[in-house]
Order: sequence, then C-alpha cells, then structure tokens
Amino acid sequence: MQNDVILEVHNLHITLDFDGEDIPVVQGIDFELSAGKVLALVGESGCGKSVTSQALLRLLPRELRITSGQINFQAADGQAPVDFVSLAKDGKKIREIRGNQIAMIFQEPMSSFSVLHTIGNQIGEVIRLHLKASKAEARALTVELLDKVGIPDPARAVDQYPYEFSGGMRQRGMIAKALACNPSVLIADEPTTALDVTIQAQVLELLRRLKADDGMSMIFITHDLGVVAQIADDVAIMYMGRIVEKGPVGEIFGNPQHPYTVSLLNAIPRLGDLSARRELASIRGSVPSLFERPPGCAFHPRCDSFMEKLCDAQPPPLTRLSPIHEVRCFLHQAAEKEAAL
Amino acid sequence: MIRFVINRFVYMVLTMAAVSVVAFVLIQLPPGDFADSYANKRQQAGAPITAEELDNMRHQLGIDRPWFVQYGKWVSNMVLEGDMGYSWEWRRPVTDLIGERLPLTLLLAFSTLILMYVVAIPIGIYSAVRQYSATDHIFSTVGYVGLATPNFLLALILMYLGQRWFGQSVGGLFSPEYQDAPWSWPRVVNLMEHLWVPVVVLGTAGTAYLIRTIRASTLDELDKMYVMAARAGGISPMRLLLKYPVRMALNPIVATLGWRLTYVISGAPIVGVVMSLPDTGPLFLHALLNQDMYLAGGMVLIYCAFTIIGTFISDLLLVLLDPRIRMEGQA
Repeated sequence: MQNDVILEVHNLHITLDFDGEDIPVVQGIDFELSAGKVLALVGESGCGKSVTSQALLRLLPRELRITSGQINFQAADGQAPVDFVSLAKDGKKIREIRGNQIAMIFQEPMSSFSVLHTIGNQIGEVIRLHLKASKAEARALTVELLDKVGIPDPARAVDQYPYEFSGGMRQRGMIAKALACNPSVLIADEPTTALDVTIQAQVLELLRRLKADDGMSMIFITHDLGVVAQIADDVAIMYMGRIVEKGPVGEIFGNPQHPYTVSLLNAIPRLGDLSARRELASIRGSVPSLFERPPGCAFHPRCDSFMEKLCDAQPPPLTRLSPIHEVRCFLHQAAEKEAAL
Repeated sequence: MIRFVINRFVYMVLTMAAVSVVAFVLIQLPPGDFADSYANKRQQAGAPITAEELDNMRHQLGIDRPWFVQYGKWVSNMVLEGDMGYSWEWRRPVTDLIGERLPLTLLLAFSTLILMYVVAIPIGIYSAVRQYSATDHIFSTVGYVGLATPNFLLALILMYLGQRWFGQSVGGLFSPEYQDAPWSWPRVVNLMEHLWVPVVVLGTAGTAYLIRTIRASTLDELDKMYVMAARAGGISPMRLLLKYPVRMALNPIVATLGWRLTYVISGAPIVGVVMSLPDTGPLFLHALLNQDMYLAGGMVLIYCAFTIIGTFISDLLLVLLDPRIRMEGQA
C-alpha cells in the first residue's frame, strides 16, 4: 500500500445469491482512500455503491457475498495492513474495527436507530464496547458528542428516544455515534439523501467541518453531484457494479471523459436553465436490472457514442488518461492507440 | 403511568359489565330452559311431570320473569354478596362448584402458557437466525403437524401411548388413590406426573403457532436498517440479536398474551372431557347441555374475565416494553 493510503479496495467482486443463482452486483472495483481525504462513490440507484460501502466493513446481508478481491486497511498504529476479506464475517477482529477505527452512517436516519432504546444507550453502547468505559463515562462522553454535532440541549437529548428526534437530529445522532471512538475512516452511505434541503446543507456542513478540523477520511456514497462538488476530493463514478471513471473532483467535473459522466453532469439542472427555458437534460433509458445486464460495457444501450461490435462485445479495459485520471471506455482506448501510432 | 393503569382498569370494568350482559343473553338464546330439559329427562326416565308442575318450577327458579329482571338480580347478588347464583343441576352454589375446580384450570392454563413460551421463543428465534437450515425445516415440519393436529386427537394418542408403553392411566390429573386425598407432597408429585399430558395436548398447537409468529417477526426485524447500524458499531452477534431484533420481535408476542390465555382456557373443555380432567371444562360443557344457566353464565363470565385480565396484563407489559406506547399513555 502507498504511504498515505489508509483504505484500499482491490478487484472487489460481490454477488447476489438469487435462489441459488449467483448474480454479479459489483464486478471488480478498485479504489484507494488517502488519509484526510474524501472519496465520493457516485452513481444511480442500483449501481452497487451502497453494497460496496456495506462490504467494506463486512456488513453485507446474508444474500450478498464477497466472491473475490481485497479490502486492505492500514490502521493508524502502524501495524501491517489487514485484509478484511480474509477475516471472519462477524468475527472478533472485524468487530474491533467496526465503530472503532472505521465507522459508518446510513441513508435512513429514521430507521438507523432502534426505537426501543434511548439515543444515549445506543451511542453509549459503542463507547463502552471499544473504550471499555463505565456507564457514567460513556454517558458523559455521549453528551459531549451530541453537543459536538450540534444537538441542542444534549443533556436532555441523551435520554430521549429516536422518535422524539427529527430526521436531521437523528442523522446528527448517527454522526455522533460514528464519531464516538474517533475513527480514522468514516463511511457515509447517502447521509443527506433522506433529509430536506436545508437540513441537508447543515449535515453536509457538519461533515465538512469534521474533515477540515479533525482530518477525518471519508468514503461518501451519493447520487448527488452537487453534494460531491461540496465535499469530495476524489470521485469514482459507478455504473452497474463497475467504476467507469475516477479522478480528482476538479478533473472529473472540468474534464469528464466517460459518456456516462458527461451525461450525469449535463443532467444537473442549473439556475440559468430556467431563464433560457432550456429543457432539463436527462440520460436516455434507465438502469437495467441486475438480471438483464447488457453485455460488454453495461452503459452501451444508453450511450450516444455506442460503437457496434465493440462496446457490446466485451467490457472496456481501464485507460489511464493521466496519473490521476482513469476511465473505462473504448473511445479513450482508441484515442490511446492512435496516440501510440 | 399510574393514570394509564387507572384508565385501563376503568375500561376493564366497563368491558366486564358489557360482557356480563352478552353472556347472560347468550345463555338465554337457545330454545327451552332448564325446566324443559328437566322435563325431558323425567320423560325419558318414564316419570313425566305435569304442565302445572313445570310452571311451578319455572316460578320457583325465577325463569318466568323477563330476562333483565333475572339479569339484574344475578348481577346485584354477584357484586354485593359474591353470590353467582345456584346450580339447579348440582343443587349447589355456583361459587362452590367453580371454586373447587378453578385452581386446577388455572394451574393447567398457566403451565401450558409457560411451556408454550419457554419452548417457542428460543426455537422461533433459532429458526429465524438459521432460516432454511435443516434444523429450521425440521422445526417447521414438526410445527405444521402440531398446528394441524386437533387437540382431542392428540389427547387420545397420548393416552393410548401412555397406557400402552408406560402402563400409566393418563386420564384425569390424579391416580385413583390420590383422587380425594388431602393435599400432601406425594399428591403434588402425582399431580405433576399427570399434568404434563394435558399440558402437552393443550400447548402443542399454540406452541407451533407461536414458533411461526416469532420466526416471522424476528426475520422481519433482522433485515432492518437499525440492525445493520448496530452491527456497524461492533457489537457481538449474540448481544446484537438479543438486544435489538429479538426485543423488537417479542412485542407482538407479548401483546397477544391475553388472547393466548383465552385460547388455552377455551381449548381446555374438549381436552378436559376427553381426558376426564377434574377442571372446569367438563363442568362448563354439562352446564351448557343442561341449560343450567347460572352455572353456565358464571363460567362464561369467568372465561371472559381471563381474557380481559390477560389483555390488561398485555397492555401493561407493552407499556413497559415500548417507549412509544408509554408516551401515548402519558399524552
């Protein structure tokens, strides 16, 4: 692993067990997360980004399985990297990392807390587990955490139940729980999707502060490119279980190379569009189901640059446009060949 | 909380009052009355009674008056003096008759309930966690058979097997030598030796049903987001299971405790008759057949009281278990 890389995913494959049949969901993805950086995994619903995020901590539900690949984690203590894929699914080793060195927040703050236990109980649980703290210490720390994430009257909130919290408050509560043991990586699976716009902005601001002040590294799963622009350093665009383009956020937004990335960026509504009465651009068709994966490049039926007998024949290989910019598209492979000639 | 309890208690009393009217009316509904059924018996015995005697009897028993007068008298005696009326058939006060047999009915009912929960909860949870495993399939198969077997058939099979293999008379709750003996340690032991058969008979279908319910509700919870969120915190699988999904899955089980109590008690009469148990079941059946109305009415009332009390207990337990309901109670 490179020096500043703390989490590295290599050739990860995940399949869905559908009545004994193995349906590929994630087909060999690679990415690295560097210390203090935010990596955004972007894609439409069903592209495998949430599944990938759950696989990182080996949290996949029973029907989903990692079939091959590596998830290498470099702990802060300088020990040799651990490959999570080689660990037992709910074994002691991975459990010591979950919530402690790598924490996760989820899309639905409404359902990420148990309704039967107080917020303080559920946050304190993580603290007592990993920091071996007493009940009183855990409680004191929980109040501090709630305060840190901006929950008003934290001493009262600690004894409240999730249904007494609003959606935004619950997501703050989730973030407080994730921060409890000072993790080096935070995995955020669409943390703002279920919130209204103003609350979204507040939660995003909170996450940005964590990155700036605490140097927290994050894997940020989202379908919202606006959010990506605000928080990410690097972006990986996913389509049907593959990363089709990857690079620094400025490069991807300023110089998108994959037709899918280009259409995604074009589909962002802009204020100017209103006065110009331009129609909202959209991507033709919709994401095929996992059971009807198109052959070759999975995006080819929706692609304007579709090349017959090429794009539908085999998946495009990875092309490195620059040391930091990668794309999987035959357009660029062709360009590369021409350049070589 | 206290307000909630008082509130529920008032509802309980009101329900009980309403039920008593329904019980009384129901018992009056079938054509004929105790006098008719007495006349029938005399007829069959070859000593018919005259129409005048019959009218006299009706007047004496008070069943010639309108139903609400009879009802009023019945209820006021019950509330004021604890007198539930007189059994014409047995020629004894209803309270005495029921009082003799009720403890055994309760013992049977609660043993059955305990067996059902003790067996069903761990099996249900296990089946959910190991869904579609061989063990899950075995429990499911056994469960369906248990669910589908009528109580009386199971009673007969067990009695036959007990007789055949153990030489034990499994009918009744006591061996003949202890039948009318005063309470003593050997008598208790003897009771326990007999009790398991009706408990198994009464509990099998309920247990099978409970296993299905617990399995389904646990499965529902296992896939919920909050379970994954808790797993992401690093909690061990066993603690996770017990603290979150199981706790959640048990709510509907606790909520229906009241019905289950009724189910056990109302299932008892048939089993009681088949196995000749000295509990309230056979007593109730005979009272209904002979239109012994105060005895039958008293029994219906007591069975209903159990349902209402069971529901009351369920409500209280739910309030203790689920903070959301607790809040509603306070509001």
